Amino acid sequence: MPALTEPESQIGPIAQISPAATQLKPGPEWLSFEQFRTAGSAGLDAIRDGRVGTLRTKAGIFRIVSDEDFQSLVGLASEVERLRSGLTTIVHAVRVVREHPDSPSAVDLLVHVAMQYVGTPVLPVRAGHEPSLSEASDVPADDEVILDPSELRPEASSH
Amino acid sequence: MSSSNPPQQLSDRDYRQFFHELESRLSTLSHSDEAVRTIESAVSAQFKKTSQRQIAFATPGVITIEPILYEDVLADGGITASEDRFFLLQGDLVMTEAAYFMGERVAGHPLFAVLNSTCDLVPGRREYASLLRVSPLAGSPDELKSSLYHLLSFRSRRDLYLPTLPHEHPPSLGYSVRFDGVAQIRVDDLLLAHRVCSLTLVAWRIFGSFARVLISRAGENEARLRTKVQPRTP
Repeated sequence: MPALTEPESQIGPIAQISPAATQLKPGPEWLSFEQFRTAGSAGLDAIRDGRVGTLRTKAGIFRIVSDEDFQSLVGLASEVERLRSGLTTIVHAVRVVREHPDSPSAVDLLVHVAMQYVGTPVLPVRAGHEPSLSEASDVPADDEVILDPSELRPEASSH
Repeated sequence: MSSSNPPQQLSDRDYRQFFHELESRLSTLSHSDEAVRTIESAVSAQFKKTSQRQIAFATPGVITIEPILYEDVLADGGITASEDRFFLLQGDLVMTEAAYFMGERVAGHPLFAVLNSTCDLVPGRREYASLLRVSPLAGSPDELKSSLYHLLSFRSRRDLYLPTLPHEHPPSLGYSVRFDGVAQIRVDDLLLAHRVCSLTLVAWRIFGSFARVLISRAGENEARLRTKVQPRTP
């Protein structure tokens, strides 16, 4: 996509796909629900950074991932439709070239479409929301503003 | 299918009179920002300084709460089994990497507030939902002072202040819900998002007041200029 080929300074940071989301690894395994139950929450500690737990029960096999990894996977899955749309465009361009092999315009079209995907394993992704300040206005001289969050609930932070 | 008795037609003048009267009835309803101005005046009347407002909004359980769960509400009698099952509610803060803003998927564990009405979020009812970007307040001390003063005066129509989140350790100075630009997400993906918190009743009303202003807000001159417009004859 064009945005990925532009200098980063013009388009802001480009997010890296979390390796954990695409490199799932086997994690702890429980051979029964009873074993899973008695192991307690400590057994789940190893399930993060792409590690997938496996729970084998009579009802079937269940895979357990951390919510962070799950959200990454859902995000990647949501791109499938966009990729499918892009591939359809390339296929159409190929058909045009096949039907009009002598047409420079048809070849240009295929090259143009293909170039949009060269070196772009993923579609445009931004890393979080771009930093920008909230709206602001001049603070009156007699106003007071708390900048230390612990002062918001002093009694709570002392507990 | 055509009817043998076409509906009785009124005169152009009657139609114009009907729509004129309809506009009059809607004029104080459709584009009113009275709700937002009520928030602004109530907060400023009760709490003179920004610090007082910060402390008030940081009171646990008054603005943000742990995600409201269907099972809990059902057990407490707040909803009956015959009503729609919900998975998340309007105004919920969620973390998802399946939302798109200006054509780009937003990764990096971004926060969003759910803009759609809760009834649109029932599985199968809508295909897409709208989200508002949520960012932690950040900046230099002077910038933070100015932002907090402005946000907690509730004069902004672009940013809505939210206090530190439930069980956020260490606590933060708060967040800004940006009513400028809407992200989109498939409802099926949204229903799988990580719910960070829900809004209390009053916070939901504040959120709704701002959401309404986002969609329909009228400057004093807009009704006047539209009144002056005469239909062009082709």
